[in-house]
Amino acid sequence: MQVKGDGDFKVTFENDVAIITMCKGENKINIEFIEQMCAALDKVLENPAVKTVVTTGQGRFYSNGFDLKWIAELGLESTLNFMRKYSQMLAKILTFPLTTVAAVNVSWDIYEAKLVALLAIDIKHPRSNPGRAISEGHAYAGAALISLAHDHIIMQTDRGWWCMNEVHLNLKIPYDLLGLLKEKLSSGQTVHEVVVLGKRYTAKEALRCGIVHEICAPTDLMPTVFSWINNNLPKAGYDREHLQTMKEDLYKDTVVALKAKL
Amino acid sequence: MTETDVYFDVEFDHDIAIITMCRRENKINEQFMEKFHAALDTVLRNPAVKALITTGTGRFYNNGVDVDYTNTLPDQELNNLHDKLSSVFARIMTFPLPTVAAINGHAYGAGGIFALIHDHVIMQTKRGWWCLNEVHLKIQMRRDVIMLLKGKLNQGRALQETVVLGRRFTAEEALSAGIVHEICAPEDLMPRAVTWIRNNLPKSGYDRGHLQLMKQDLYKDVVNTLQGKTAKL
Repeated sequence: MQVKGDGDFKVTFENDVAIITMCKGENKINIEFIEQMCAALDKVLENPAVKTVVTTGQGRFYSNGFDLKWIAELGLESTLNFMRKYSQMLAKILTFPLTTVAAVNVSWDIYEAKLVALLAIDIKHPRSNPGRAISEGHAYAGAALISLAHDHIIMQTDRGWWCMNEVHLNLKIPYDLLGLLKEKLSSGQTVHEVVVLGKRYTAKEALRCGIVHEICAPTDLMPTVFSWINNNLPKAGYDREHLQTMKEDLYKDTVVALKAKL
Repeated sequence: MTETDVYFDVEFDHDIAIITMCRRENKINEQFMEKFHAALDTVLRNPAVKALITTGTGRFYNNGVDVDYTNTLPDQELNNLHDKLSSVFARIMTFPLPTVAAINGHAYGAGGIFALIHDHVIMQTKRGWWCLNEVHLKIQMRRDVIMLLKGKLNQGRALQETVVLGRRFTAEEALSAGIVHEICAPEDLMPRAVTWIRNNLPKSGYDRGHLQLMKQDLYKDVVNTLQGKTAKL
């Protein structure tokens, strides 16, 4: 399904809240996505008045996962390089010196997204078969992890499921990404069901299991974001450096693994 | 009641294997563990099996290590026994089939841990407690087991109550604490286990090798420690 966007990541400011809107149609994750996301985050930081950053998608998609077509063209070295940059982007969001909110404007559509080829290219798993890596499937795991790296996640309830479907596709989840999941999901059993059983969750179920923190109707998404910000964060915000240090301390092992990309 | 010589009963219900622990308290010793491995091997040899249920008989799911016996063992042999027990835990944690523990009665000590590490745990509400009674028996928990418990129980309160205080939990309390995932009346126990399998697992099951790899990846540090690849104490 082809969806056209304006082609960029837009950064807007509403008083002390910065909003990064991903406007690249399905916002599939490739090297350009990573570069634009990181540039947008840096632009937000340049504004000293900003206390919170919200990420969201334009129109129907937050992100529809990894860009399969693009990844299929890459050689092994480029793929590993991409994965490294992806992990580093996750680390950047996870330890961002501002409060981060993911306003997930659409659920990942289980029947439309395509598969992650690169996760299969991991020599530690002799059973993984790069030959069958490119097939119909689900790639939204890549987008799910981006949202998980945020401080607060609001998901709209319209349709679709949340799911890390690697186990159904005989794919390995890399060690550093498993670390992020364990860090952010609230219970060992939830982590187990998400990873080992590849269970799928509606927005309501995701809320109940602590995968997302708030749910709302699609039309209420941004109002709910602002409501949360106004009701939960100190008016004066946080000292940026100290917030970053606090996040780095709390998520130390995960951050080290993401940055080292072992 | 005479103690049966049969430790385990293995049966198949279409694509579901059921291992029933048959002795009175199902206490764990070397023989128990040996025969348990054999029962697991039997299950895996059947290519049609897509899920495994373990359960006990009568008043006990499993009452843990046979301390009357282990208290007579010299240190080296005791250590060996616990190494073997850790291997059993590691095998169940990384079993290449989805596992359901159907707790029909008391699950104490190692028996309680054993249940905890299944993929899904159902406990019936009329009979028995779940309890880690090591602290009451003055048994030291080894580091590998503590790592396992931290991985499986929510940090903080649950860990405190189960390990440090050796609190016993009814089915309802175990459900609240996240130790078990489902509770039901005793007569519903096995039907519920089967229903969970039918409703939550993909019809064609999982690739066995890959399911095992996924479990090994997720619990890498715990499994390595259980298998003695890093220090146990």
